[in-house]
Amino acid sequence: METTIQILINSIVSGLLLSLVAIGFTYIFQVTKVFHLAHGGIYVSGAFACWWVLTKTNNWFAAIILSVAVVAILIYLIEKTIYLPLTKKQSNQSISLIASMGLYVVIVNVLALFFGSENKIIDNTVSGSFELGNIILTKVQAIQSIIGVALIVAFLIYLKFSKSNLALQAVSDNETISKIFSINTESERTKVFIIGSILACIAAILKTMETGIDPQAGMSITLTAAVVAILVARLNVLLIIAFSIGLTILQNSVEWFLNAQWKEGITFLILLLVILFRTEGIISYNLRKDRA
Amino acid sequence: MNYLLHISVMLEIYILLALSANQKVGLSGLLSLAQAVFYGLGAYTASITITKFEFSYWLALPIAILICVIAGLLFSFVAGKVRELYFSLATLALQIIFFSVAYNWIPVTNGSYGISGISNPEIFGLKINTPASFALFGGVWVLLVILFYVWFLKTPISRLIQATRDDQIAVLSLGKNPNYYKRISIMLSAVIAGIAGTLYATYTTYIDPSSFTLDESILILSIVLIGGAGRIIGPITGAVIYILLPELLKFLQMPDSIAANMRMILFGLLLVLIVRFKPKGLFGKYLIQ
Repeated sequence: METTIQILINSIVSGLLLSLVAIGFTYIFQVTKVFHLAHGGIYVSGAFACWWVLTKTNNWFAAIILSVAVVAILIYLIEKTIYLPLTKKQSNQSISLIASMGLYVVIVNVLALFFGSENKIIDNTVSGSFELGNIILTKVQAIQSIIGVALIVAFLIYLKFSKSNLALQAVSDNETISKIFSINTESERTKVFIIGSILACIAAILKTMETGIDPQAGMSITLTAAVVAILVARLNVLLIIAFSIGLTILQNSVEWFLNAQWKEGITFLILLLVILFRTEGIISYNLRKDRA
Repeated sequence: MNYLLHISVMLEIYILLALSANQKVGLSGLLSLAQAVFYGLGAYTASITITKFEFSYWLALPIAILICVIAGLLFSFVAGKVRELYFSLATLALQIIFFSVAYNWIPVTNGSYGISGISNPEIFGLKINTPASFALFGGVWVLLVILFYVWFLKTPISRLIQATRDDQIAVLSLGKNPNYYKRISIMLSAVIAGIAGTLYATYTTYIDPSSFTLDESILILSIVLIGGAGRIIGPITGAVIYILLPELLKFLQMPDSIAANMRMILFGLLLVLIVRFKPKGLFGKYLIQ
């Protein structure tokens, strides 16, 4: 029983971090139609920037500001030089997927070249934990949950009180008609890329506090976020969070009861079944029509 | 000299892989991220039949081809059901599932420890166990596959495969079943990748799942896209660039520790630039849009 509760608690915390990555991925995918696997590269770039500043200055505030800036500039350049021109050429989605993979390979290898491939640990982090019987919540996990929830709330508030929410849904549904209705689709695209990348960057920093970071660490979480994006297949933050946590619970149970290596196999088996039998996402089509 | 021969064997294996991927990407327009699955199936089937049942290479090869044909057939049902991005994603999922199985099905694949002691092929009592003989052996395979394509690209069936790529509805209107041509294309591609796998396994005499990952599939696809899809020369050029790039870096006196990352950076950059500015690849015929 206690094991189950412990798995549940750990899953909810890592599910929250996953949902930060997945919200960015889903919004980018739905609005720009780019299957942005380089999100994994952005994720590790943010974490490496933070780690690097911390080793130089030991100042958390500077580290976070700088890593957010690095990520924002990087994604801005990628969007303006690669993704946007490809979209303007009306390339098929598979092409932007391939461009995105190329970018991922470049980013990861540049990081490995400059900083090495070994795992980087942040020294200046909190230790200790809260205990209730045999159930443990580490202080790092507490920080992860608080910041994770705060960011999600901030994102929801942003969607509610800016015009962006409607604009994003419009661009997601039909970019050409959105342009006719004087929505600046290019700026909406840029916004969604930058916001999504910042969310991923913070998630990466939070994860690094717990386990450290290596250049390859971004792929696995991005692929899982991509699975969430395909399963949800719509712009709904709460659903994305629910699916992220659900998927993490499943992965952690598989890891606990079977074997750590099966967890990706099972995640992608679900993806394969959904793609083959419910390409429109798990939520039924009728439900999705109500939104229109 | 041995090093040069080793490079040529690797080049031959990658040319076969690139030609097999070209069958899918260039002739059928299917951007598959699971080419390493068939490569791995060929390698694993050969390794298991050779080490566990003590088959010779010439008995293991047809079994590997048969397994690849069956896998290709199953795989083609995915291609019949979804298209474009969702096809790529379905193949990505298959690739990761394959890796999981290869890694965890220990009684058969020996998991992460891999399979060692795979014996080299023999021809008429001559053992192919030196780099030179293997380079020759691989060269013969490459030549056979190239000759096959020179012939195959002129056949009506290859034209129908390409027609299916360009316009499925037009193919339907001719009373032909597009899925049938996709299936042939995928099975053919699987067989060539499987042959490359048997070569790899018997050349290195040791395999483990890390040779058949998603990264490998992405690499094979990139080789085809950089060289250019649709022609025979395209994938061969791509493979030559990929294999000779590190040698060029060595020539520039770059230390090995940097060269490995530098190779992937240049290759990734080349892929992005090709997709962005020259979508047909260096020598391609078919434009993927």
